[in-house]
Amino acid sequence: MNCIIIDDDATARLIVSQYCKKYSHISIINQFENAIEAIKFLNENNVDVIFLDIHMPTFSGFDFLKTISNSPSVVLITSDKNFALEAFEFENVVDYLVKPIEEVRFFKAIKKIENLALNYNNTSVNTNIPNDKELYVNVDRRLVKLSFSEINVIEAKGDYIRIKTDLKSYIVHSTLKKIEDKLPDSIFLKVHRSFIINLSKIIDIEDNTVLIKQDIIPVSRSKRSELIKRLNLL
Amino acid sequence: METPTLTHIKKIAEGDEDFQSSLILILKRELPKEFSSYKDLIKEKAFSKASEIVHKMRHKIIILGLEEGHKIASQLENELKKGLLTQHHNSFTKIIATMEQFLEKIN
Repeated sequence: MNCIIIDDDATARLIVSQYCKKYSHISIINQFENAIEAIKFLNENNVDVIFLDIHMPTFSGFDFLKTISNSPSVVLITSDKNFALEAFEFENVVDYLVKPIEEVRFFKAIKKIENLALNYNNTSVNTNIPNDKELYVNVDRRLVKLSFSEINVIEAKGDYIRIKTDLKSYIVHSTLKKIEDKLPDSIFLKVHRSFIINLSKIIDIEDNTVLIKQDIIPVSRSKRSELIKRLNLL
Repeated sequence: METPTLTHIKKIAEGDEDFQSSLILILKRELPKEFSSYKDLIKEKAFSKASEIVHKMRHKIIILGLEEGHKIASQLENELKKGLLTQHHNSFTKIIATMEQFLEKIN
């Protein structure tokens, strides 16, 4: 999905960009500190989603929405809760986020966009490609190959899972149980109800946590003994 | 009085030091400029324009974890929109000064 951000506040633009980095199928193709510049860009480029601040000097987010025709999906971003009713009078407004934006809330907005704007095929872990070295995951209608060796951690996130590698994180519509069935037991272990880890990526273990890259992963009491058994202990 | 923290920024960063540094750099660069504009507008009694600056600064206040400060800034913003300058102006000035001191100490 090609997205743009329109916000006069650079901190807000940076935070939205940071959240978007976590979704491999979302590209921020441009950012604007005023809405007028964005109109010119929209006339010449294909944009799927606009993250739009409401409160901007001289030309507000609402002025912008009234001006553009055939708007892509819009996620409004504001410091005020009071504009919600007015916001949803615009048919392309998909969601309304209040600053400071929490990641969980941002995640819900992305989910709404996927459901409404893209009419996407349910993203899911592909079950038709058996292989003992890699896994294909369906991300925004694109099959992405992930070698087992590059996967660090898989985390349950509601109806989705987040697959973390050294370079990227992939959000995939699936469950931890489904992907667990596709992973080789020799490499992976479910250490917590929300986490599967690649055993070869462990840096250290302390009490009931495992360090993998920069992530501290919790280990359930019931899984700790199994984890210890799987290690080549001196 | 509450003190600024990087807790919220670190939570968003999830270990991404480039992001964290960039965000802090923006705060260090923009906060003094906006505060200076705010003070000038108050001197000129341009309260409506000052309210717009306060609105923009509110996000910076909340991402440094100052929830009470954010409430005060919201009240100040609403009062300025109505053309009023109350004691919230002094509180706001102290909050921003605290934030600037906090940011100065971060490398």
